[in-house]
Amino acid sequence: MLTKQQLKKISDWLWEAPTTLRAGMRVPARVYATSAMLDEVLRDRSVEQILNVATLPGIVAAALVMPDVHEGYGFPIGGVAAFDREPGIISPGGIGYDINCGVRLLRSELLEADLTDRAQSLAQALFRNVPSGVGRSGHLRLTDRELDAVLRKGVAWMLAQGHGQPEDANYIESSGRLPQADPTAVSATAKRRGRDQLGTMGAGNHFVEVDVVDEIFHAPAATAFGLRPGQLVVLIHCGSRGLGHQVATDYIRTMLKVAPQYGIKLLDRELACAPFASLEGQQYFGAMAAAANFAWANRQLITDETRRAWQAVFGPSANLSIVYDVAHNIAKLETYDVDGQLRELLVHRKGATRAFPAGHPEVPAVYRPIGQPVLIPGSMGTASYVLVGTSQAMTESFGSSCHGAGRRMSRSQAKREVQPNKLLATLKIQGITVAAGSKAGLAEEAPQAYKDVHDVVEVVQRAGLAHKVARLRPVVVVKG
Amino acid sequence: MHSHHIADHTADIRLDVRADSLLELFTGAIQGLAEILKPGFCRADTAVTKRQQLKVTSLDVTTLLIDVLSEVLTRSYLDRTVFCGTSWTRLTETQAELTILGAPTDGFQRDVKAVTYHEADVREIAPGQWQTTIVFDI
Repeated sequence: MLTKQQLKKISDWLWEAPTTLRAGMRVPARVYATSAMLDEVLRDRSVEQILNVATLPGIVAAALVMPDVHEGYGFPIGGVAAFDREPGIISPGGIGYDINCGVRLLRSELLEADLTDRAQSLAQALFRNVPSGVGRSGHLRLTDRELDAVLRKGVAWMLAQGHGQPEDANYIESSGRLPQADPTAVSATAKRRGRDQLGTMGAGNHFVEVDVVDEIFHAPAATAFGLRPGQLVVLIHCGSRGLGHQVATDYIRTMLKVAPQYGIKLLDRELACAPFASLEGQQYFGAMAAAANFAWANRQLITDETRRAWQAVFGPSANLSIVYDVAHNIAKLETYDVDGQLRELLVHRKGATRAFPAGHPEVPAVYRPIGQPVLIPGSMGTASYVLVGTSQAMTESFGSSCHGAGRRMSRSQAKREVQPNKLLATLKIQGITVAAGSKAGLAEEAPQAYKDVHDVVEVVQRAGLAHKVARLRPVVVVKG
Repeated sequence: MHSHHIADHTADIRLDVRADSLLELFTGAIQGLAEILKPGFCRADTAVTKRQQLKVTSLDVTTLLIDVLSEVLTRSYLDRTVFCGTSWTRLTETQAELTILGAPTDGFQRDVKAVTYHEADVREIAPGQWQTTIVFDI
């Protein structure tokens, strides 16, 4: 078991595990956390896991964990690692089973006062319009050809079918489409699982939530993002559904078999990987990109369903505009200055959010003077945050930030300790209306089951990885 | 004979399985998965109306168990079926051939994203005492 004494304190919010800590580490591992947070982090195997990540071939600079880290499979959740194209690797475990799980923020022109007496009808309209629950089908039925087009084109396919507004793609990470997508690398089984799931939320920690902009911390960024105090906004959190889960399962199995053939010694089966340049590495990258496009298409269709619910409640002229959409389980080719040289790296983010600064060409033109919006959902009943990316993130964390609050309590413990009816009553007192398919599922997602999102965001802010722009307070929560 | 226990895990679900043979361990793990997907379903007197044949080859016995469970999970979602029983044709440390038996369901209680290799370690800790842990991504 690792101890705090084995880590070197770099600052009040950054700790480093040197390469001497574990045989085979090629780079140090760094943990963003306060001293108190680190005590909690060291209770599970998150840091052990990031030390294993630091042994993987081609890793650059350092393996990182964000303050919302918790134990995952192979890679910890909240982990960031960048690899050279050659001889670096790609690992499905470094992305996660829910490929391109992510968050989208929509802004309205309405204020909290406009919600009075309509919260319940809005919750019900959203619950009806956005299918949720385990294995639930959506409204779209796609042919093989149409599904392949979704996998290739992502959001663009949805817009071409009329599911959105023409400008939507401008406000989505990578415009909602990774060009490397290869539908032929996605198994027939994965396609069968995803075929009827577009426009569905799923269950667990996924949600559609209406929030109020509760406090502004950075007025110029808030203005650029179109956010103002009291404004109603909508957060959507979900991913690539069964299609992405199956892609990850398929390729972890493939890579377990081929890793030894490439001379890769795995300290953990879930670190299964292959050289990025290898046939298997390229096939997975193509399949992952296709699943990422599917996830963006999914959030786009949910946006369309949400807009319809919104207009049903507030009238046909009530609009919702996309502020931004971020992926927090993904691997992407990005360029960084490493030791004075620009290098294209494959950045794995598993439970971490891209946080690009002002001036970066991948930030939408309208936000480029200020930086990329970074969306950090908290638990229902607490708060969520909008941050903005910084240049420091480019030099320290491969343009990455945290992704949420992070669980601190098991689902079983939450169910034992939280009575759903009491939770609903407490949330009601807090002014939060809930529509959920499962009361047991609701208890599992209770605020006390999560770490304090305020603490997590504070570390990110102090470390300079992103700056706080606005805090959002939930008023309507819709879950599967 | 086999038994399973669904245990706490911070972000996910951990299943501990014990059995007096390797075949029973696999059977117990499949029943544990069914219990996670739809608690109580397999304890009810539900007639078997769905059968699926599986043939899986893996690197070693632990990987084989996880790969078999992943197949069962996939078939569960595709067929909207809870698979409670098994009929075995062949089980070695690297190969499994079986028929899984189940009944359709109108929905699952849990969204199991995947069966992970995390913590899995199939072992015979003493003669006739097999055990492993399996962590499911929720």
